[in-house]
Amino acid sequence: MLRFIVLSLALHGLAVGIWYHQETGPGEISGGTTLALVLLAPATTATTSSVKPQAEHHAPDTAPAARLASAPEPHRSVPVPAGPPSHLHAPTRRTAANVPAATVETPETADREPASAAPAATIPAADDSLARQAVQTAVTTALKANFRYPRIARRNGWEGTVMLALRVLPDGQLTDILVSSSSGHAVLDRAALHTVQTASVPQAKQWLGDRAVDLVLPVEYRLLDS
Amino acid sequence: MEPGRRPIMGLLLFSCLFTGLAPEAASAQTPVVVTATRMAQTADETLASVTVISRDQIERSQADSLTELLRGVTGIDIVSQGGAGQLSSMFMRGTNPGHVALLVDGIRMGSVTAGRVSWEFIPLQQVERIEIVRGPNSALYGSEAIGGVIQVFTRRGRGPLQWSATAGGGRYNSREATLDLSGSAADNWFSGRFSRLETDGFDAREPTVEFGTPIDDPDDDGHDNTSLGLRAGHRFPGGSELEFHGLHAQGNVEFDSSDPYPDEDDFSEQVLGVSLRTPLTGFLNLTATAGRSLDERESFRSGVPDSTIHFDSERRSFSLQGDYARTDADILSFGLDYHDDRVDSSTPYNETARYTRAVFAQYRGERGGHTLLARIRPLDDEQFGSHTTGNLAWGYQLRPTTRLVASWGTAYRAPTFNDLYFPDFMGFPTSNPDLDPEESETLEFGAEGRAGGFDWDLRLFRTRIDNLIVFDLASFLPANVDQATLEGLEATVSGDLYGWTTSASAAFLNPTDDNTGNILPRRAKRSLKLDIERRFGKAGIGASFIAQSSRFDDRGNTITLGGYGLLDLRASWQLDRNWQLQGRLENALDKDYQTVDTYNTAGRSLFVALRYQRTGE
Repeated sequence: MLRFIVLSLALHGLAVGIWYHQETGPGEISGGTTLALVLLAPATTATTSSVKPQAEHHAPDTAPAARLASAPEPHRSVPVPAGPPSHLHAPTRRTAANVPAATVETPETADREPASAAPAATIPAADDSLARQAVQTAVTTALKANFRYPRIARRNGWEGTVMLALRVLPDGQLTDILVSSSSGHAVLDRAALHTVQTASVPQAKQWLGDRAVDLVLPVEYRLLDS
Repeated sequence: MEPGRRPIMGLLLFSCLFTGLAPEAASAQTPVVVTATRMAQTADETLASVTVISRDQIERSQADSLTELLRGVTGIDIVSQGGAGQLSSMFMRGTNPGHVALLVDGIRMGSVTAGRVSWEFIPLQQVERIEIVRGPNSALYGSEAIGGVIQVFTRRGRGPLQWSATAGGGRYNSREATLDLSGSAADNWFSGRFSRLETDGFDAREPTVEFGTPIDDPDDDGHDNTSLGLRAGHRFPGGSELEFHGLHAQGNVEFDSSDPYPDEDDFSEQVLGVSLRTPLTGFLNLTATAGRSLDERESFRSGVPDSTIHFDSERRSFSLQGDYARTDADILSFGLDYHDDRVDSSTPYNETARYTRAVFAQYRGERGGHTLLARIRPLDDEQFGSHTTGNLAWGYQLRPTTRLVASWGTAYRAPTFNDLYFPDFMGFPTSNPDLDPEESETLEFGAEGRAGGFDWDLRLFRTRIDNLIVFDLASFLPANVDQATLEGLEATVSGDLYGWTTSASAAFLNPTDDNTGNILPRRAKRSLKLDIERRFGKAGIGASFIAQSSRFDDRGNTITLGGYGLLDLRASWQLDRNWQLQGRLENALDKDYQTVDTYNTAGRSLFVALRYQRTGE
């Protein structure tokens, strides 16, 4: 069942991504990569499966905390990290239930600064999987703007999903990064690896405490026909 | 299992192994999806003037032939000697019809005797994507790429198995049917397409007198074309890809001529290719391609036995290309290619084969807002010897939304077998084996950008062609005696306007015969194309308008063909998930016009088609 939820979300998210991309047009001036990045919210309960996605511009710095804060967790009663007050009270606050996907478009010339950290409560050590999710979301959110589609892969029509294994240290540094599963194209594998190697995720500190977390980060490269 | 699920399944499995988490928790790992628009394979679109037409656009246009689809595209002027399947010539940026290279899935096509591409026989129904590159490209694609290159790609199966069937018909008793099947599973992909079209057509040519002989053949001139396209590939562990593709089209076309000359052609066009792509190291990728194309023509007089003559061209090619890209900022490509052209004909040519071998290298670099491209291709031709072509292009990102481009390039066209090796006539030579290639040099400036939600592109070019081969009255042989200069301005704008998808392109061309100062024949000096379309729920409507100024039909500029405006209307209706109804009204204003003197064109014509599409589980 869960598989289908994930699949459904992935497809919806992709549809939103494609829709968004077409909506905005391929603003291809610079050699230029117009990237439409789709970040999907964690699917933690079955309630998310029947929801229609809605695309919205999503400021990177609002993502992890706000979404996690409102994710329905019927089976748990542990405290969950909260987003910054401004987000909590913002009228546009999103929940996992009504916004499974969000898109961000970053032109080639976009600012490459990592998203700013959102302060949040620390998680009790016992709630490991929740913390892991938070870290995963923080890593994904922080890094998504850094990815570029390699030119040679765009020209040759290369697509695929790279699985990166990595360790997030307590200070947000990323280490032990390796390609755990190839996309089938060395160019894409290397591009993904290189992107993550040159990044760090200080935003994740709040959920790390003094622990390091091992993650798998899937990076999917997909080409759109104009 | 459906291939689309594989990454997610793999993700689940892998994350379980790696992190030791329960599957529930692992599901939180959603991928970062990095998307970009597919980039033209034919040329660097950030520096060259490129138009890409996708399958979706082809379907929405409802065009039923390649010539109809390409007509009015920026820089392209097509003239036809009658209706469907009749001889059509393409002028790209005002260059000669033999100055455009056509590649189908990377393999060169066309007749080596007549030196032309049979645009009218390439079945659009088999085409997935078209890339049009304006400007000199011999340094990548060899002979003929003076005005530009058109690269056609057939479908590559992707995702779950899907199939579709289309059937339609319309005026001039036109009938058309297409069957399509494609999909991919694991590391294999496949696609196949069968298509058949038939039309009774209309009288291709009005009564006239040519070389003192009257031509008066008032019957309708029909055409049929049956085609099959196949493509299949496999990806090996490690990333190597092996792919096979084939396209075969054959059929018949009737035309008008005087007795006893042929008035009917049986044709066949075929391309077969195999390619292997392999990553040698993480930075170096190697592509090997081998292919063969055929352009075969049997001409005969209807009902007259033993009147058949035939001209068959065979082009074989092999190429090896390496792409070295350590970073996105520097890409070095290099390689070699070998072409072997052969003729088989009822006419005994003095020579029936020739080869060309070449090496090439290209560098593309980016520093700051600057992009540089340099390319060189020395070649050795069995007939005319060595010749080198090259390109230099520079792009500058003036502002985030504005780019400037300047480029220079040379190109060439090898003499045809007719020019070189046509047999003697009654003891007198008619061909010249010592011809040099036609040579061109082009200078181009461009600016492109995005403003107010619209993409715009402006190009200014000047091409000078030297050593043009024409029949020289002094020597009474073909000779490299002509020069031409082509100057032009092209402008395109596209974007959304009040919910309508719109595009407009305009071209101004000054094609001059430098020997006489006359305007080169059959080119319009001014062209305009407007296209507009919109979806309303299940319905889609669209219109396109093409206007072209007058043109001269002869080199002496004595015969003028008037300018015209043509309006095409189209609509589609999605009946349900699988069924779609399409309709197209061509030449809605019923404009009476000619693009070649004495040759008729279609009047107002309605075509309707029904399409069924299904994606299997």
